[in-house]
Amino acid sequence: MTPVLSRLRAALPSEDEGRLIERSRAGDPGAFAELVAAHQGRVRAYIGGSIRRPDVVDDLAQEVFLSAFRSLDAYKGDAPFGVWLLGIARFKTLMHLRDEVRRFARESGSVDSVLGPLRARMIESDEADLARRELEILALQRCLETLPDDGAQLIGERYFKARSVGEIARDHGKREGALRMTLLRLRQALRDCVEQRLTKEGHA
Amino acid sequence: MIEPSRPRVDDLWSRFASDGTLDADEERELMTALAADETLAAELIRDERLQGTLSALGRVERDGAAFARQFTERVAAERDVRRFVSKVDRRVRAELPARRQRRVFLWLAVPAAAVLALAPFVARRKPATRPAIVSGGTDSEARPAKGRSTQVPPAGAIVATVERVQGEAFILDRGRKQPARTGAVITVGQGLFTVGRGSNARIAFADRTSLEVRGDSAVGQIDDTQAGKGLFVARGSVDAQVAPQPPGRPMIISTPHAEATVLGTRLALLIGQTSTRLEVLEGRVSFARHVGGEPVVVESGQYSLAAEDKADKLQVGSKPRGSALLVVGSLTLSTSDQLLKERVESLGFEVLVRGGGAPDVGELHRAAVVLISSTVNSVDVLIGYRELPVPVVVWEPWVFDDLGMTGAKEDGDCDAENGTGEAVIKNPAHPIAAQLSGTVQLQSGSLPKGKINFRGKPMMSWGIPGPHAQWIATWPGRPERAVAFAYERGAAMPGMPAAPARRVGLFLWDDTPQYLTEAGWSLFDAAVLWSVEEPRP
Repeated sequence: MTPVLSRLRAALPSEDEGRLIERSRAGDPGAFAELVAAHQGRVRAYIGGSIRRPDVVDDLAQEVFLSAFRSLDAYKGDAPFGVWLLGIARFKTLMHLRDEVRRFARESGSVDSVLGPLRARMIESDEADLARRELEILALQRCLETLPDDGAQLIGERYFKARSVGEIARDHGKREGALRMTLLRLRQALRDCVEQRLTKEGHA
Repeated sequence: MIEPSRPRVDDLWSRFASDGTLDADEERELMTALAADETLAAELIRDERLQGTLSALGRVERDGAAFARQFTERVAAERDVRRFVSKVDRRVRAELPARRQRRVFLWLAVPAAAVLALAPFVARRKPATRPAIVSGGTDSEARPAKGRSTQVPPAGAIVATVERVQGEAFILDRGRKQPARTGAVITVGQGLFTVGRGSNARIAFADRTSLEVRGDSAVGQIDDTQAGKGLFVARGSVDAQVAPQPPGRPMIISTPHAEATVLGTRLALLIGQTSTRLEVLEGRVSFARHVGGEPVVVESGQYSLAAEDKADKLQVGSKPRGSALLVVGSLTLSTSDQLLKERVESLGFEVLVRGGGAPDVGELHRAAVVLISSTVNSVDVLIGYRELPVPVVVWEPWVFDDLGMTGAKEDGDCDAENGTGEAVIKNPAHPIAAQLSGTVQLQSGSLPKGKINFRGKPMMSWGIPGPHAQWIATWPGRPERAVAFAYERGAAMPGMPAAPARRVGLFLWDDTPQYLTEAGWSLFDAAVLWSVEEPRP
């Protein structure tokens, strides 16, 4: 059972996107809502890659789209619209992470105090190639389709049905520790797959 | 500390990444490994990134439509406020003295005849020096009332100064906005607008009266005339510290629903879509609806609520019932979560809205009641709630089992399904039954397709509680499914030997509150109030 990423796949043809952007510039929020529907997968996934709390991720994503809507005149079409959105998402995520780093610095002794600066550095380095980051998210879709059925089922239950490790372990008659390790290996396999796919397509 | 082996790191990391549950020693162990090996840290960060990406994509699949709808609602609300301020500004600039009456007209959209009938009453209770109140909805109909000053300060006169700004705040003038900066001045008739939950701005009048505007809030028509200070709070949250005002010249704070007349005090106003809540921290405030009813005096430590759907006399509560912690899926509240928040506030609680994820344990324990909305992702409320010795009211069915209130088989012991919106009251004598009996319609039976689901039928949460539960209502034709059930503190539950405090499971679903009937709201109110009645351990 491969998780279905319908919203990620719902990329708009560029002509439609251009028309929606023009209508949004003319003040049509309904047109921009269609752009939100088409691009929320990439934006939420991008932010989610660096921030653990889902409510914060989704709040920031809303802020990204509001900022984009308010400053649509600033979008000149030099880059694809999705990449422009990721640029806004990158900025907002970075600001949030820097706040976190400052907060964690006062709470030495937590894993987050070590990881916080690394997360911020990773987002900083995205500046050079946001388009690649978008391709990584799209490549992940392809890689999910290549997972063996049992692996895809586990990934689907954990991340797409949002079930806890304990619940899945109970249903599958496995130990929680073993299941967590299986998920870790599956994620490693997905990471390798994404890298290979991007290398093959010349985006290494 | 000795650097742990790679298998040990993998074990620690897989647990940290899955639910963040490591004890202090384990956390130190993992930190040692990360600090000692940059390559390892980079690898784990990449794993965290992939996991976060997958989780976010999963949420997009589950709630993508709601996310897009929230965006649309937020833009619409922002536009409404801007349109309002623009409209009010135009009228103030026209130097017409009939402001307050037309606010009523604009916001409550009552028929013009009703406003006309009301004018003599409003005129009677206003101080003689306040701007005139006239009837009608157009400028040409405006006329000053007898014996009233018509003086309005000239456009451009300074009334207040911006003392502090955090986040996004704007000064609004004739529908145009400019960023509000510390030290900026606010001239007569201008407004202030803050955007986003983290934003706030503080302004001060010449007599040190100050206003703190927080979150998504809009204040318009700020003025300070010979008749007194005045402003209109269109939405959001405002705290005011009002210096003693000259006799006969009170400060008047209007909202879409009511008006507070202040002589000198500290107060907090919370303006929702359907109600205004006033809390007086010091001093006394006269509080009245725009339409109908006598004003009430709210004193220090008291609160009152003017709700659109209630026409009875304003009630004054002695003090808030404490804080209710509302756990939701997104802090950008959905329409339904917003309605629920306002409802709980109308019951006298201070509502703190929190997302899922690791809770602030101290805050949880201080709450009078914790409310878990179905919009929350059930895996985000696994930690900290199960053993909580504080009452919990929950309508996310897949949390029923996590809290031990039902068996652990999701889709078998707890679920949400399409229904008719009806329920069968099993125990009419129970306080949560709210004096209902028989088969009752809790929410509309027919809904616009696509609102709650594509079938246009209401969704209801249900669970199969244990033998020690109190069954209040069940699913019609499925008596084994409870749609309202409760446990007393100490009662055995399927997943726990003793409930740590009162627990209530309810029928609500993500969009249900928009379609609740009066019976549905009564049951909700009764459940929240029953949950907090017990003495805390």
